[in-house]
Amino acid sequence: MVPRAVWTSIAGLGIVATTVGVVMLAVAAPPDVLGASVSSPGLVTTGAGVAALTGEDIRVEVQGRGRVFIGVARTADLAVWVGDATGVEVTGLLAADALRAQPLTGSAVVPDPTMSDIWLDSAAGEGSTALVLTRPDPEWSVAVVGPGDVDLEWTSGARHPAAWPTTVIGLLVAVAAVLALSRRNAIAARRRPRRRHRRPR
Amino acid sequence: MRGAHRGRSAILAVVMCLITACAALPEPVEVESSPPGPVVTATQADRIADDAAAVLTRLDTAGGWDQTVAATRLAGPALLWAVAANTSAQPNPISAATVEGPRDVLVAPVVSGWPRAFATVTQGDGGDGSARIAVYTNDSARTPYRLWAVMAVLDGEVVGPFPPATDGAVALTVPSSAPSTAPSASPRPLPDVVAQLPQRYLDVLTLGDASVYAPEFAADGFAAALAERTAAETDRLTSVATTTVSHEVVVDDQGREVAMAALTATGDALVMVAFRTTLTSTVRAGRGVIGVPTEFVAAVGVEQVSGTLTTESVAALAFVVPAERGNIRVVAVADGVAEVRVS
Repeated sequence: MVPRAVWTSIAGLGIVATTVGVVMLAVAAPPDVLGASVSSPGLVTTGAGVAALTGEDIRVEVQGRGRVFIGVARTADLAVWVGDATGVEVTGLLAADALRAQPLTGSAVVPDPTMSDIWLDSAAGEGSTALVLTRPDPEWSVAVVGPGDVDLEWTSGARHPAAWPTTVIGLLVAVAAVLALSRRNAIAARRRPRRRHRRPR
Repeated sequence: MRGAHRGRSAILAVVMCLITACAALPEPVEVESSPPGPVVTATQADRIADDAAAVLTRLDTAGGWDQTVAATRLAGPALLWAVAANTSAQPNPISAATVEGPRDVLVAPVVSGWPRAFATVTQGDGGDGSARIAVYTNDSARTPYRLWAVMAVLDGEVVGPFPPATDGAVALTVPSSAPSTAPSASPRPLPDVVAQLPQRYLDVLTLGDASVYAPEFAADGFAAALAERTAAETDRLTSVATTTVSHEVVVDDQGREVAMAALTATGDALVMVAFRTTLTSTVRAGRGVIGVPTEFVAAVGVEQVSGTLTTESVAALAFVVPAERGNIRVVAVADGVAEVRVS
């Protein structure tokens, strides 16, 4: 017969796993939206794969002065369009609410985006505009033209991938261990009276 | 006791790793260098065509002519015809109606760099009832696509089939200087044939059936009509003027003769080339004057000329070069006067 301590330990591990799973699902769950703002000197682009960072939607908004433009194009086409223009390239996330960026150390002025046909989708406005890309292709990149503040917000598709398995498996292990422990106790209880009954003989 | 403490620490460490590792920030997806796609999507092509139609509509309205606006969305023959239509009473062979509206087929070559071009094919009953091909060219990522020409598909000709627009057509890279070879019965690489096509068809236009390259081309209505037209003009003026006819290939700003070349689904090459025909009539001394075509009187400022009258017409042609043996065919044509000069 398996010692009681073993089943108790297994049940304890199951309870711990369930607790961890619940913590991952609730307390330590990543935020629904990732992203932050970056100041644009006139051109902000996203690096390769950045637009599709989470695999979910990305919302781009610019609050600036004068005419502002947001466009999405194939990364290779956008690189040719940018050429040696000066600007900022967003390369990823430093934190859930902080962007990682690097300067585009070009020397040329930013070209007029409305004169190009590389854009797969675009939005323009006076002072502000926004564009939502639904699950963008990993080969797409974004360009924001116009001085101002550029917000990049990704819908966080990230969930702890192990959260639900941990919770469910932990719960099953705990329940199974408790049942096994109960069964063991029941068997032990049936055996104990028999031993007591034999003693008087 | 120490062992139990170690065990608890190990479990806690695993738990913390599990929580923190899974909550790591997403990193950009490493995109492997994938092959380039079609130069435009259907949505982009529609937008570009609509913009070109809007420009044509604006230019056609009274007082709406703007050379800068015209040059942003028109190129090659289309721009030459539009300029001529603005300065004369000659109608532009391209109207907004021939550009806007439903397009049946998008021929978007797969190209990574620039220059780029694409074509749309309307199978017929698109307003004027005729099948036509519209060609758009693009010099760089920072400039817009410009309408190069809209050509009417000749009777009996079928253009295509082409691969799905989402896959894109195979672009034919035309060598800048294909080896000049004499007519040969042996097959040549398709890119070389395409590269030599403009100059060989030019030779056919100039010499007619006397050209050594004439057997490579199927008889076409355009060349016959052009020869007939220039012969009639020469005959009309023969008593008072000496008339010469010359032809040349229209090249773009970078000196390219072929505006677009792409393969059909069957491996044939669809090739777009423009030709300029210049008809110069010089009045012989003491023989009087010759009349300026009515629609160009306002443009040149005189009704008659006693010196030289020069008429330039430009034709945009779509050729099909068979993948296997067979004659090169002219499948679509657009033709119009580009300029009339007097001196």
